[in-house]
Amino acid sequence: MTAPPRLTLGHRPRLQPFWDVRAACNFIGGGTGTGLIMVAAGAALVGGPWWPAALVGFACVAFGLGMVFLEIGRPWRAINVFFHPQTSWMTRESVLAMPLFGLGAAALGAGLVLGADSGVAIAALVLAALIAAGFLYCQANILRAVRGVPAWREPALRPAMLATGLAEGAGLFLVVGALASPTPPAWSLWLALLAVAARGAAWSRYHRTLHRAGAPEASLRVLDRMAPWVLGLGHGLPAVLLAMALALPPTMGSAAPSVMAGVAGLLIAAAGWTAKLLLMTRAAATRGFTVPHTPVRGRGTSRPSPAPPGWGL
Amino acid sequence: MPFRRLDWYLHPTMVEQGLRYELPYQERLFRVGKELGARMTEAGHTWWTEQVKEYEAIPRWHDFPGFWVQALRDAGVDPGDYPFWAVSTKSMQYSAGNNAGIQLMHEVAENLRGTGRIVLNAETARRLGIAAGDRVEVRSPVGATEGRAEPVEGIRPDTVVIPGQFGHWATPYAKDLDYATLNTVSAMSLALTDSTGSGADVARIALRKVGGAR
Amino acid sequence: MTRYVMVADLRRCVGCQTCTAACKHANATVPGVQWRRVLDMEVGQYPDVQRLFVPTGCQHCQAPACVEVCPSTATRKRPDGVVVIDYDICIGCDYCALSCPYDARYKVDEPTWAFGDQPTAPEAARFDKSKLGVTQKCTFCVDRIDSGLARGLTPGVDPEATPACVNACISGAMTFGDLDDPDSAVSRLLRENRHFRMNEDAGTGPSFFYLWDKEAGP
Repeated sequence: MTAPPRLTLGHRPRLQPFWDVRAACNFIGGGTGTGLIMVAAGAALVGGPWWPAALVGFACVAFGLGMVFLEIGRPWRAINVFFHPQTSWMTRESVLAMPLFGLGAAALGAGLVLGADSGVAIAALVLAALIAAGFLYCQANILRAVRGVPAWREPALRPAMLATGLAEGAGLFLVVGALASPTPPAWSLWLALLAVAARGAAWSRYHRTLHRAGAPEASLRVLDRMAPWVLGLGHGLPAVLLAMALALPPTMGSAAPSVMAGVAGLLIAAAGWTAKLLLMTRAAATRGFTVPHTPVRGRGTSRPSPAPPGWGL
Repeated sequence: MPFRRLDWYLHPTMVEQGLRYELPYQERLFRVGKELGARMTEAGHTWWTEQVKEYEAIPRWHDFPGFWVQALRDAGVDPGDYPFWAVSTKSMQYSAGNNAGIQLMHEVAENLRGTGRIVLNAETARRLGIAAGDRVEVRSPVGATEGRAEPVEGIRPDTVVIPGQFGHWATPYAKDLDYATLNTVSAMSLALTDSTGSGADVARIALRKVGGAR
Repeated sequence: MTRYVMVADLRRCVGCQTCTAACKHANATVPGVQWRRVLDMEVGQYPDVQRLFVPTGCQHCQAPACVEVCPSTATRKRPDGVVVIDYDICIGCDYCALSCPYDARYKVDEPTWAFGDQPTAPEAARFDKSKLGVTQKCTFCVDRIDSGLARGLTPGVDPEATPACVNACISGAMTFGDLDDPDSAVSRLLRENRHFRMNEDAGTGPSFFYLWDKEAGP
C-alpha cells in the first residue's frame, strides 16, 4: 500500500522510476537468447539440429538490445555506449554484442549455405556461445553494480541471473525442438531438468539471502508473492513434465514427449521472464535514506534512525 | 551616606506613601470590560455576556476543551461520536496561502510531510486501518472534508492536522490540488468565539477511511 | 589540491526548502526536478519523537557509483571534486541514476512546464533543449565556481562563487568550501563538530558532511 506518486521523492524507499519494461526486455531477451545460443552450440557439438534454435537465440538478444535502444533518452547517440569499458558493465556488454552478432551471422550464414554440419558454421557458433556466456555474465553484473536498488545489488542475484539465462535457453530449446520433431533428444531433457534445478536453488538462495540481509519492504513483498508461482509453475511442474517425458519409451507414438517437453520448456522460460520482469519493474525499490545520528538540539539528545525506514527483514 | 539595603526595594516606599501597585494594562482591560458590558446591556445586546467576562484583570483558567464538548452537546450530538481534535497549520512556504497559485511553491512544500495531506498519529492510523495515502473523511456536525492520510509519530493520538487554508480557490491551479480544509468542518458559532471575536482553528471531528491509496 | 565539499548543520536546518527553491531558480530546473532538496525525517515513537531536516542532493562522491557505471564517460569527476555531466555525450540510459544511492539524478524526456502545456515567459526563455533525454543533477553550481575563480574569488567565501543553495540558506545551515584548505570554514566546522555522512555503507565516499553535535572537549 503506497501513497499516490507525489511530485517529490521523500526519504523512504520508492519504486525506481528509470527502467521500465523495455529495460527488463533486455535482460529477458539477453538471458534467454544467450542461454539458447549456448544450448544450440551444445546441440551442434553432439551432431543434433541447431540452426532454428540458434536463430531464435540471436533474435532474442537482438530484441533485447532493440528495446534498450527504444528506451534510452538519446538513441541516436547510442554509439557512445562503447566509451567506458574500464569500469562499466554496460559498455562491456555492448562491446561483446559486436562479435556475438558477427559470429552469429557467420554461423547462421554458413549453416544455411554450407549445411548444418558445416565445420565452419559449428565453429563460429561455438565461439559465439563463448561470447554469449560473457554477454550473460555482463548482464548479471550490470544489476550487481546498481547500488541504488538493494534487491539488485544483492550478490546472490548474480548466480540466479546466470542460472535463469541458461534455464530459459534450455527451456526454449525444447520449445523449438518440439516444433521440429516429435522426439526430443534425451540430453536436452536432462539439460533442462538440471538447469531448472540449478535455477530453483539459485533463486531460492537469492530470496532467502535478501530476507536475511534486509531490503525495502516493497521489494520483499513482491518477491514473496511471486515465489510460489515461480517455483511451482516454473520449476516443480516442468520438472514433473520433463521426468515424464524422460520416462516415456520413445515408441509411445504421437508427440506426447515433445509436447510435454515443449510445455515444460515454455513454463521454464516464462517463469524466468516473469521473475525478471517483476524484479526490474515492481520489486525494484530504492534504498532510501537513514541518518546515524539525529541532531542535538534543545533536549540535548541524539539517536540513530533505528533501521532504514521502509525496510524489512 | 549610609543607605539601607531595604531601600533598594520599592515596596517600603510604597507602603510609607500609601500607594498601591498599578497594573495599567490589566486595570484598563477590567475597566473597559465593565464599560463595554454596561453599554451593550443598555443597547439590549445580551449575546456577548460570556465573552465580556473575559475582560479580566488576572486571567483564570478556562475549560477550553469543555467549550467544544459543550458545543457538541448543544448541537444535540454525542461528543463520543466526534472523538478527535482537528487543527490546522500552514506550510513554511505558505503554499496554500498567498503562494497557492505558484507551482514552484507547491512543489517545494510537498517535500514536507503533511502538505496537502491529513496528518494523524501513526498508532491511531493503524488502529483505524488507515495506511499512508489512503483517502480519509474528516467529519463534524457542520460538514465534512476529504483528503489523503499521512500517519506520523509526532502528533498526539487524539489529534489530526489539516494544513492549509479556507479551501476557497480562485486560481485554477489551486483548485486542482484537491486538498482538505479545516474550514469545512469548523463551526462558526458564538459559543466558540472569544472576546477578541476570534474563533479558534479547532474542531471536534470523526475520522474514517473512505478509499485506498489509489 | 582542492576538494570541494558541502557541510550541512542539522541543528540549524529548519526544512524551509529555500535552498530547494533557490537551486531551482538558479538552474532553471523543470517541475519535478530538484537538484537540491531537503528531506523531512522523523525518528522515534510517540511521544518520544525527533524531527529533522536533511538537505541532500548529489553528494559529489569520491568514488562515485555513477562514474563507475556510466557507459559513455558523460559523467566524470573533476580534480577539484565536483562530479559533472557532459549533456552532449550522455545517451540517457539512466544507469547512473539507478546506481546512485542518494536518489540524486533526474531525467526529463519531454519539455515540462509549470502550468499545463504552455511555458510561461521565463520558462520559455530559459528552456534548454540539451538537457532533454539526458541525466541531470546538482553541479555544486560549477559555473559559479569557475567564473568566480576566474575573477579571483573564493568559492564558499564569496557569494558569487558559491552555490546558490548555500547563499540562500536562511539559517546558515549550509557551508561550502575546500576541505583541503585547513583554514576554510568547512575544515573548521568538521574539526569543531561531530559529523557523519549518509548511506556510507554504499561505499561511494560522499562529500556531504552532516553536523549533529559539538565536538566534546577543549
